[in-house]
Amino acid sequence: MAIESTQTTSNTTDSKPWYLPKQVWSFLRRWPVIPVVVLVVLVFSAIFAQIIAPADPIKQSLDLRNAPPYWFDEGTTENILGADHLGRDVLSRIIHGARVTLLISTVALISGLIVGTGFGLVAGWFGGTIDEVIARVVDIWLALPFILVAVVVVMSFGQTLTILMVVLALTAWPAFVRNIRAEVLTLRTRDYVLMARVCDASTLRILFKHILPGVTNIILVIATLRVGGLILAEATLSFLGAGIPAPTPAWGVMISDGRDYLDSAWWISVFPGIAIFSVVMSLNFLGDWLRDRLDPTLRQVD
Amino acid sequence: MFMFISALGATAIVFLLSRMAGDPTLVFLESSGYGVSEEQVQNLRKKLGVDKPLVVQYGMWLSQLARGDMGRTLIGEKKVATVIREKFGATLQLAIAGWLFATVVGVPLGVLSAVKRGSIWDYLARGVALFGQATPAFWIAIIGVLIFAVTLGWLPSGLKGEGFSPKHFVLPAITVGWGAAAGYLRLTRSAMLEVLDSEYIRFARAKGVNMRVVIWKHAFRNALLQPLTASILLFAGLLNGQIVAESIFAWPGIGRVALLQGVWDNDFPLLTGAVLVFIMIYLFMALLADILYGVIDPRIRYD
Repeated sequence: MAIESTQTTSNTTDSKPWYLPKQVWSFLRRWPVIPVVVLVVLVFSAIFAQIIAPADPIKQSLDLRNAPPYWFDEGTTENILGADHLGRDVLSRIIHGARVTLLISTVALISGLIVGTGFGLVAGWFGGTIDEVIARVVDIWLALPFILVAVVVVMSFGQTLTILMVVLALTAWPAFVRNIRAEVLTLRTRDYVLMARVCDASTLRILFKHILPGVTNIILVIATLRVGGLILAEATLSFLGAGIPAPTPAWGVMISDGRDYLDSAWWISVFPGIAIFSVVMSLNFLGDWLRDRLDPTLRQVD
Repeated sequence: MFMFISALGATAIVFLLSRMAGDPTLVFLESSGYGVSEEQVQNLRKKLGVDKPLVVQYGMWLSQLARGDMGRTLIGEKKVATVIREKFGATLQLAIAGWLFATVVGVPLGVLSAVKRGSIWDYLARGVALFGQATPAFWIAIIGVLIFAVTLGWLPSGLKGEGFSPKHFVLPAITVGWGAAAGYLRLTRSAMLEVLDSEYIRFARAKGVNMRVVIWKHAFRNALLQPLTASILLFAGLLNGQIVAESIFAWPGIGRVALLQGVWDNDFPLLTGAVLVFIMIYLFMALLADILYGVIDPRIRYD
């Protein structure tokens, strides 16, 4: 922390004015400003969707059917990004869609994180047969054609928010296991861990008090890098019709809605895609940045 | 052995899940359009074997499989093996095209980006990688259709009724390989950077070896190992892209039929068969990567 603060002060006390392109560029390269702004906007619009959105996201209107964005000749400021095939405002749907995206990906990530970390800790600490079994389960999991399985689960247990979260959590956990296991393997031979064992600390206590703090950096980095994947997976499921049920706005569903109107109303598909893309890209940027700061040895986590 | 366990575990998961989707006989009889008696339902259950416990059903499926029989589809009562054989060619062609796209785009760009580190090429290539990892493949497919099929009219948007030509491969292959291309790029770049920084590369350059030879002969072969090992993870992405691409472009492959008929119409024998095929493709690719690993790095020997 001390090093970071000296870096910033030397940066700001630079003799050249801060607004020169070169200064701005180097500042943007050093700090993930743009990704953080994008993510703040995402969280903000997810929480205050009701207030920000200019229109009701599920209100249909025949007059506004496929209405173009406002910079077109026929466009109005009523529908800044146009309206979809049922006359619903695209911008409002994107803002409300942020809510679904944020909710599902956060819950799925946290549950996946807990399970994955648990397995990783256990595999690394106990080793032997348990380790072997966990490794095999992870391998099987990776071999499953995820999309087919996810669609089957959604069909079997119902197309609800909860099921969707569970399905995505199921895809999130293997990413954590391998890296955490590897780190635990090195941590368990450290002197302080051996001391704790000598002092007859219980396994649970060692795992949670001594090992877990050592892997939090890794958890944080993988989590940031994985959320993007989860958002993409959720969008893909929605796109294939196995995601959020119909009237609720979700980005993947919106893209799918616009498929049949590409020649007449491209904005229905294009703008939600841009939303997905900017959020995932920001998360990836942030993840890369965190990784370089916290744990450069994780370069291979993609 | 590992492959065997993986295939077994994965099919078991899918088999159990698809059978939990509800009573397949109901779907089946509903489509017949007549009223059904309780007796008919029971007879059908017996015929399909769904009156037994799930584990027994899975065991029966396995023993059939061991005799080379994958069962019959619920709809149309065709042999699953026949359906899959019909569709397999299309799926394989698209999978290979997608993998080629990913490799041809990802690996050279990764090398370029590492060799010209810090230059405009590096930034461009890294931009491509970030873009590729952040955009959903299905959205790229749609944008591709919008630009190249709807606006410019250069490429066909699907396979509906037209004559088949190499042009039909372009957009689906990009959809399949999209995410994997970005993955290859990043992996190749970081591996190349690591190798280029090593002592023997510096020595080769110091003794005056041509830069091209240094890059391709000394550095590239060593750098290739990492993308190869990690590419197993990318294969899963390729197969997911495959299913998405097949359903967007109406590609007559296994992924599409599994999704449309296997999942939506609850045709569980077909679904399980299709999943088995996908797992086999995945495992085969993993095996291939292992073999290539040994070819590229002669220090590695399998005993």
